[in-house]
Amino acid sequence: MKITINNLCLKIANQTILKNLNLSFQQGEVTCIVGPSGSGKSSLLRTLNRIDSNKNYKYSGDVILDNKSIFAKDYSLEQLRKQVGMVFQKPCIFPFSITKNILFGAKHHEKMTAYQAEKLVIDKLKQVALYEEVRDRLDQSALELSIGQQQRLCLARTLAVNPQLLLLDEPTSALDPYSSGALERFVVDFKKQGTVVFVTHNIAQAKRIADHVVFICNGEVIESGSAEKMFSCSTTDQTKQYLNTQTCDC
Amino acid sequence: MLKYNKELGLQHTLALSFFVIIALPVLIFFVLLIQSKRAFLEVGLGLLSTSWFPAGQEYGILAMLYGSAVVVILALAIAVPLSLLSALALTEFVPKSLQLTIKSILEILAGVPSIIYGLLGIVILCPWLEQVFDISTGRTLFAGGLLLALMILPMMISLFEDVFSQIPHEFRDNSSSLGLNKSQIILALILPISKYPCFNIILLAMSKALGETMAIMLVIGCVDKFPNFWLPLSAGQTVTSKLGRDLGNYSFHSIEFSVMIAMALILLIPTIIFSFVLKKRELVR
Amino acid sequence: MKKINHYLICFFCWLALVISLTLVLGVIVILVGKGIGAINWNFISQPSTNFGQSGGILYQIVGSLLIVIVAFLLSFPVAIAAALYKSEYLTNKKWQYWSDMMLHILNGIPSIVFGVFALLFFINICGAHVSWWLGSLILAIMMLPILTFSSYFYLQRLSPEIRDSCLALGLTKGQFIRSFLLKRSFVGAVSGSFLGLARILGETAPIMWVATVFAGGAIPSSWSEPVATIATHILILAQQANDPQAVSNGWGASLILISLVFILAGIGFYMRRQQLRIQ
Repeated sequence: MKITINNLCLKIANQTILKNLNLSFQQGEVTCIVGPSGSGKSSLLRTLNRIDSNKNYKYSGDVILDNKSIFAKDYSLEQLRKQVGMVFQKPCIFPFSITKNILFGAKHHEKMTAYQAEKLVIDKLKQVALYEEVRDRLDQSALELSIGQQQRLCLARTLAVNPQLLLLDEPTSALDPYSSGALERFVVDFKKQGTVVFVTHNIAQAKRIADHVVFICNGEVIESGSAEKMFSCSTTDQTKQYLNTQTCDC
Repeated sequence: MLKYNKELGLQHTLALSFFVIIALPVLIFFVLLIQSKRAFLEVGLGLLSTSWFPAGQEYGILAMLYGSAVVVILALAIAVPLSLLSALALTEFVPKSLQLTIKSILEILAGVPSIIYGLLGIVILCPWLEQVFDISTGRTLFAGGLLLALMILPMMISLFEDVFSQIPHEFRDNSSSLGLNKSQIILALILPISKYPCFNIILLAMSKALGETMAIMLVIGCVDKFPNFWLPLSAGQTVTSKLGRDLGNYSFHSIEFSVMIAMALILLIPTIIFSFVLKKRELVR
Repeated sequence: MKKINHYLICFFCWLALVISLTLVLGVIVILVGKGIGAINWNFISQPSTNFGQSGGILYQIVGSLLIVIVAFLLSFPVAIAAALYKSEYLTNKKWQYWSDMMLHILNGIPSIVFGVFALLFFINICGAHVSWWLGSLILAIMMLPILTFSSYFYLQRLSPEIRDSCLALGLTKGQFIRSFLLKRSFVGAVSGSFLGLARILGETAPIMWVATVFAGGAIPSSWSEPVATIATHILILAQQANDPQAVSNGWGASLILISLVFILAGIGFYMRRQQLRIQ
């Protein structure tokens, strides 16, 4: 799967959020998007799975997914979101059982027997390192889980749909160290089967897991490149300042 | 010493108002109970007969109970699906600015006095039914059901809309991200989550519909007989309509009067039960 | 298949909304359309004659306003007092629950049952005659739950910090209530007042046996006279549905009634929205 962003501009109610973005994400790699708050990182992610198909959102430029523009009139939004999965910053659990939560999206995309469904649930729970903790209460309400467990459950739910591109919007910002660690291990593992785009404020986290780093400030890409290059010899002062001190003079 | 008297005095005055209000439903119930005692004791199970013929000492109120039930069921059968789907349209499909305007309009329109619906019914609805179904009079149980549905519609849409709006938009965002389209989100998420409060709304509507008098009284036909055909296109009578029309016709000491009071009591009891159940369900939730 | 389901559901939702709005707004359109022709200065300023078939509805307008305002004056202090007691003195949880329950039950009692109760209690048991103020009395009883809840919830939203600081200053409960809470309970009851007034203005059943008469109602000049109200007048006119003049007057009276109700309800809802925003 190949994703290229060409000259993407996003305007929400006449305010420019993203300006002339040119990026591409490589298959099998983890790209971390860093930048100060309000720089448009989340908006970029939300553009990639077109979650805000709102009339106030004006796009120009293009996002090409596997040689097709995702803004094309006949491009099925449901198909897009099947391939591009997203985990939001705040875990959002539906008031159903754990099993029902995980199968929520998957059920709508393909018919499964009860056996297949059960196998899928266990598989995904193991993939996010949650299975051991909840194996004996799969049919109980998911609302009783801790925040860390809920976030991993949201991830399992997204994985059940089998996306090839995973968009993670600051997924560990509200989590305890154990859950954060589990999530990071998962991201590294997922590289074998897909691509990950990861928004984070945590530079140390980016250092740990990123293959590529993109620094966005004020809706523009200031610099992007491989992780080693960005962290050791980035070219702009702004990038250097942000990656070292997490402050930005923009 | 004076200050304490003032303190206690205030507390007791406030307490008096409070307990007076609390005692009112009990008072109303007992006044009705006492006045209907005669009907229960003297007519007893005769109340459950289908013929109301005071001159022949027959005091069966089953026709009225049947009429009330038919009219309420008909009204709910029309209004519940209509209001549910409308509320879904309002929250899921209509743009936000318009949604607020429509909701405010509906809230205000829910306060149209029932006598005005009665006028509408008798002058417009009944003649229209006569035309459409080719019947001699439009004053039927069916007209009552239709009118009642119209009366509870704005309130129900408004209440359903409240329920659906309270589902956080993150739920919808997350569902969309999983690849569901709007109607799938409605069926798989919105409706299952709202089952409990939606049922409460239906109970509330049932309670309100049961107690409706003025509009029903004018369009129901006021025939104290069990309808010959089991079709709503015949004239009938409801408990409320009978009370509204004929209570003033019977003298206070007569047994007919007591039977009417018994009917009012039979009307009161379900509405008390509905209020009780609704309050309990809201807490238990 | 999925697509068809999706389009069907969307279609039915929109259809339902369009039908509902058409019906609901249609009611208003019909009222305005038919009523506006009947209203002129004479209509508002002349008393009715000939069972309402001719003349205007002056007495009815005055009568409605009279009993509704008196009902409000009767129920307002009682509701405020009860709300204050429930909020400040009632600590037992069971009492709170059951008093809530009683208020809900009182609110849910159908209008016709109130009418029956009024007939039994005031006229048969207490022996009063048909009088206009009995109408106010029963309407006041009907208004009590709305007013009490409105005031009570507004009192409850007072932050506990303010409460604690006032008491820490050494005020007794009574002083606290008199100097601070009384005004607050008034404000809380105001939105409920408009909503309650809007409701009782249109009521016919509760007052039909104890305060109004079928014909000849005029502005009461003493305590024991009946009154004529717009709502009961519409009832009288509706029962003469064969006479076009009566029907026309009925539309006119309905339009006036509904305008008053909407203005009051509109103010009430607006104030409630404002209250929910400010603490």
